[in-house]
Amino acid sequence: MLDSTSLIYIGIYVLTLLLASAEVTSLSVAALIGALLSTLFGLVSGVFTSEEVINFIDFRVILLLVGVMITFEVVERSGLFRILALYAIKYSKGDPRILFFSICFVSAAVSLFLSDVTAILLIAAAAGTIARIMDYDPVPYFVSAAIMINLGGTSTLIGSTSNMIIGMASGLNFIDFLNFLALCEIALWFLTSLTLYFLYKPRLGEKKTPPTYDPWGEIEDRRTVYKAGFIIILFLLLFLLYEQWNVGPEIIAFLCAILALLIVDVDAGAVFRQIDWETIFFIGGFFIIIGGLEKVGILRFLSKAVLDVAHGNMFLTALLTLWSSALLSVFVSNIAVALTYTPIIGIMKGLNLNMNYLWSALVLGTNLGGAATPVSGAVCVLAIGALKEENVNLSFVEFSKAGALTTIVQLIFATFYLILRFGM
Amino acid sequence: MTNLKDRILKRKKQSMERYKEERDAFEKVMGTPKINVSVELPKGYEAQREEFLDLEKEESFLKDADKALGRIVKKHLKKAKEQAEKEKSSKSESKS
Repeated sequence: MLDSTSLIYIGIYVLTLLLASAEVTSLSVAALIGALLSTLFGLVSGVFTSEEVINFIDFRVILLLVGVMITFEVVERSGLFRILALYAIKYSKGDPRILFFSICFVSAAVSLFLSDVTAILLIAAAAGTIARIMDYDPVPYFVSAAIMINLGGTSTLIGSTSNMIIGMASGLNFIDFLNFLALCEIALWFLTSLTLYFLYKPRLGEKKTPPTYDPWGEIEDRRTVYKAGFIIILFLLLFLLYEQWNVGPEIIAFLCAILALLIVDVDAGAVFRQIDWETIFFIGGFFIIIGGLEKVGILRFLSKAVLDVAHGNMFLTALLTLWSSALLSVFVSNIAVALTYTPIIGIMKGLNLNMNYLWSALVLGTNLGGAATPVSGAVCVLAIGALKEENVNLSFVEFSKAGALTTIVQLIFATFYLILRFGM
Repeated sequence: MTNLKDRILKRKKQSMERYKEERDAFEKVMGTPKINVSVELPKGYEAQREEFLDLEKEESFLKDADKALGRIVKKHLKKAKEQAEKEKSSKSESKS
């Protein structure tokens, strides 16, 4: 039975999620309000000390996130990803089907490195421009790009903020992520883009003469692009090797960020201004709320409840993790879901369960639930906002048709994948 | 739902600014290139500051400006082309 202290902490947690989900305030402010209430109550009631509050925040996650943000902001500024998008459009040769699949795959590929927000702004701008020139309906391209960007990076440690949180909490490294999930992600790229293709086939338009252009046309200094390419290769190499040197991924990310700022000629101040401080403050605040929940024993209670419902069965526990985390991610930020689930799953360590199975289920759940509706993730709402800039008013319901359909297809596939990869 | 959509989009104003910047960059490569020309309030019209600023949104003014600028741009591009051809021919003459 839960005592009154626990109920207050549950109240703070629910209040934070409600404030954020109903857009009463921004995600970060909601989390900071929750963190403040949690800290004040914890200190006054003697649940924890002020030193413990600081320790609730996993600064390795923050460092990793900031390092990755800086590195790829620098790379993005070089124009490398823009060139990639321009080549994808050029080689579609005016065929809307090829253009559609090109945009889908480039979206997923770009989001392996860029944050979802930066990726959608880039891809939507490319898709919007070519749609206007060729007089195509932009909706299929914008919606598909948002869904593919949400999917891209599911199998990498740095592919999404929720992956970074899960990776740091579980101890899974870059290679583990690829080993457990790369095959699933590649299959999902094809499955999702095909689903979207059949959904939007009648709206893609006819083959037309494409504009002729040089993708490198607006690049002033090609060396900057080559340097950015070198940074990506170096980043990937270091992430594949870091465990051998006994350093964490956050150190590697920061090293790459500094190298990127040194090697590529960009304005460091402008790069720092583009850091997504909202997400960072949200994570910091939410860590404190979760720390409070953990301290009063609610997460242990939830962990036991999950195991009870699944009767200690490995497959059922994984299935419950996958579907419940995905469902929650539809309505609340998947960062909040990852931060909530990681300690719950972490408590199960030492119970003779295959932890890789559970962590993989959580990674898939938190990632796949992020594009079911426009409120599921920033990437979806930005796609709608960008469409509005193109004078197209896409309703939340219309977006949700594509989002919900692809999310269900992805989750069914992920369930079978987990069975095939880890057994029942 | 529309209210929620508007509230969320309002919060994403800064991102939308970045979207427009990105779109301009793509437009420069793939679409028709554009240049921006700024016009200052002419001397002697200081009293009509407000009216001058409103011209930016006035359709008939924009139409006239587009027509007039189009004519000027064509004139200058033609001149530049003739100049380049003249230079080319004078170079080939001096070589021979």
